[in-house]
Amino acid sequence: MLSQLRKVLAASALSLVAATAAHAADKHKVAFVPQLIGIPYFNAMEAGGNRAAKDLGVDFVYSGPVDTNPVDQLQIVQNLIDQGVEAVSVSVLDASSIAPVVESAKAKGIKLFTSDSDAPDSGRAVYVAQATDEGLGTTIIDELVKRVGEDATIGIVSGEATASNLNAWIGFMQKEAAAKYPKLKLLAPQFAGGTAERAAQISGDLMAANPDIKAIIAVASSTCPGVAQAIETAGKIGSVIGTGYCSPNTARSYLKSGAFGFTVLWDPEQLGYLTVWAGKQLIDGKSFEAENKIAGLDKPATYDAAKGILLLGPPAVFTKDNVDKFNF
Amino acid sequence: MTAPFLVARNIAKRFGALTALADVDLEIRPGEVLALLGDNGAGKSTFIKVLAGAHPPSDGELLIEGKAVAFASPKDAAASGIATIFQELALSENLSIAENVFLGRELKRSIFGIPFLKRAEMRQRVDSLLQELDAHISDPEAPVGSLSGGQRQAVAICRALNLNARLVIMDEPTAALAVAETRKVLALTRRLAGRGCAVVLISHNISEVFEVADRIVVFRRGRKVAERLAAETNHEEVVSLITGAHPDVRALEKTN
Amino acid sequence: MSAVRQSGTGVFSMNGREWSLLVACLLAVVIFSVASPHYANPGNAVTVLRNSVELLLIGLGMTLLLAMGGIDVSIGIVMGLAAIAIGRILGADGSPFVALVAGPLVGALLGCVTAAVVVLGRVPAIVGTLGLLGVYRTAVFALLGGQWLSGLPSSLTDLLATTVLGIPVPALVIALAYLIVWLALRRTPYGLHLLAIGNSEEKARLSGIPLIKVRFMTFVISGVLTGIAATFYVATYRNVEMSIGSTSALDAIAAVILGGTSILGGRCSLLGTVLGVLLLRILQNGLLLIGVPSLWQPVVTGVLIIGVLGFEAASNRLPLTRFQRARA
Repeated sequence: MLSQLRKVLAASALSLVAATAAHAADKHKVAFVPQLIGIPYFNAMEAGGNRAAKDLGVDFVYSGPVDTNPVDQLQIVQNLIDQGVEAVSVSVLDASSIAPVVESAKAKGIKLFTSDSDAPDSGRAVYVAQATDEGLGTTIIDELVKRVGEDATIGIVSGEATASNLNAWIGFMQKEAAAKYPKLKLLAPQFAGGTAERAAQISGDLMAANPDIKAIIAVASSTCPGVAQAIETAGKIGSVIGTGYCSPNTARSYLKSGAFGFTVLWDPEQLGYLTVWAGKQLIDGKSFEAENKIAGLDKPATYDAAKGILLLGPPAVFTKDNVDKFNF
Repeated sequence: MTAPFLVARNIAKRFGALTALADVDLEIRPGEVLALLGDNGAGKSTFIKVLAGAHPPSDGELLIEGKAVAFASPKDAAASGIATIFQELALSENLSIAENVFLGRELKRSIFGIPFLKRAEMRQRVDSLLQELDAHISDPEAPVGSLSGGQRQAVAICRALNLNARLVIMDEPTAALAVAETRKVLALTRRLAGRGCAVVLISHNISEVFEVADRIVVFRRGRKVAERLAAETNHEEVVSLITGAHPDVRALEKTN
Repeated sequence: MSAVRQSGTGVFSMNGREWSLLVACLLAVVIFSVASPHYANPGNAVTVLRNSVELLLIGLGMTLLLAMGGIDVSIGIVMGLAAIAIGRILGADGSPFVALVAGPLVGALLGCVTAAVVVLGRVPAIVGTLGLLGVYRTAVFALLGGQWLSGLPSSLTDLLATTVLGIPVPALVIALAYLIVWLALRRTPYGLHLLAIGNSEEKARLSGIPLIKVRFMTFVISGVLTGIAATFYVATYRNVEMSIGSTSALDAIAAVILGGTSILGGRCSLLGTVLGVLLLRILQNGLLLIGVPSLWQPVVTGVLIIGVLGFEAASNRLPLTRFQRARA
């Protein structure tokens, strides 16, 4: 029943796309298919895409599944290909199943590329990356050491143990700590699944088990509120710093209460802008430079030709001072 | 002769094209044990289900003390004083004797509008019922699931009595019982009639029937084919009535 | 059916399973106290009890449902929806007293919806609630729109952090809920009817029990208890995330079965449920404090359930005692 509902919704979203696409047939079209529509993160990417479309004089098509369902997402991508949208970017839900769709796009001369989430071996034209796993892992450790010093015990609370991106970030944190801060003690990561309840319970237990703990990193965004709440409940604001990969909207009140010192992420609005810019480049048949200065972006985007990755730049750090400038 | 408690007239029951029961006329009197005999599929069970309100009859009428009644559910039948003890015993194995006896008709007192069970009173009433029936159960608080088959029959009879049943229908009460237990249940059945209850008994055991019944009715192929006073018939005749070998039955079946 | 005897004679009378659980809880506490210097202290005890509140309330309702031969796998998301209502009220700076009413009210309403589907619609409970799980999840998504409610005002938190006659409000609510559910189950016709239905719906029907009324009521009671759980959830975590309650139903079912309630219905133990919840929470907390990664905790829970039920099944295969033969 649910998947039925999902299909209907996805289909209606598509027909809407088709209608808008038909209107302005003369301009180049760049599409972006998010993992999920209606959430602030992708809303921000959409806003950035729209801004780029205006600056660059292209049409921007934004359409995606209402639930994180890989099959629905592929269907939407296939439909966009069939409609002849010239460049289609996807925040990939299932990297293993997208290759055939890339093939069919190539056969029609359509540029298919990934953005936000990659499918490295799919033959996609380029991957527009928000930040590297390495950048995210090292930034959070460097920023933490600035605040709590090198001689500190730090807890890690992640989400699902199966999430490969989260595990990669944790791996780079551990690497950075081992390489640059030998005295820093990173505790073994704990996995809270998706609920704030469990994240809070684990954070509370971590603080009980390690009275000398100086900071807790919330790796999955779903664990951010739980970690912050546990620090507040334990009355440890000031003695334990919470941080993590948390969006400004999620972390805002915790940054202001002091439960969180800072959070690390990227700006999806800028990522959306870069995505549409990359699409336009591909349609125009222009190649990427090692460093691309783009008028609408704060920092130049670097291009790794070997890996085919166009990188937005170093991750952004949100603190209580700048958090109100963002809404995602 | 006492006036009949229940009169069935021309009762028929059809399930689609299948006629399970046709033209059954029967009178059931207080204080009397009436045995229903017949082969499997003869219509006995269908008939008692009609009496118990589980099946509405397709045709015919039921009169209780001279008044026509129509049962929409077992609850209606129970309200008219008819209690059925099914073969599989509709007892809850996980509940105690008292809880089973009163299930669906608990004694309760209202505290702040919330009904609470009067457990002590229910227990007392059940104890006295069991005593009356001369049924001995060592642990009255034990779940019914831990009782023997005969003890369960006693509980089911208690339940029927407690509902102030005027007619108790027993569907093969001794089918799964050992000899000693069977004796006890038959004695219970007689005591039930002795209290002025009308009893309808279904059984396959003809000697048992002769031991306990006052009247015997034989069903065959959905019809009532014979009715005899137990004192005026014998084992052989009843067998021939059931099998259809009896001249009366053959005559009847030819005319139909 | 090994332990047929009901723990019904008194509020505190205990059967074999309940004793085993109590011993297991105490044993776990002793082992953890020896293994970790940070385990045995009042603060940690409070943490464990605090972490048990929601699951205890949901577990009481689930006990009734299982005893009736029913189940509700959507109950965690019901808590989520009630939490959204509470969160919205608090987020709009509404009165915490209004929020206090909102939880049980939404819980009761959703209990009615579930009952309408399962009881009036004559859908098997596992199927009906599985369907509703999908519907409710989508509702959570639609209501939150990907935007968590986080950093909610602490008015409700402060209200529930008070004590009455020296007893913390959560403890008082749990005790009251336990007493009321116990009375309903063991001292009212409703309880008898519920157990009779759990034993055999057909026999219960033949006994003239108002099946629909009893089953409907039970779903509503479970909903109300879950609504109260939502109130505590929001008060504690001041956050409503998308994945809220996603593990609650299974956790509750696990605790209830562990407590000795039959999944087939007809037999239940409220005290067993309480001890089952406490054992789960003691293990979760203790294992983390002695340094077992949280990744392994579901394994411990799973092994525990299989072990307990497996032991019981094995002991049922032993030669029958006279008592058991008499019932066979």
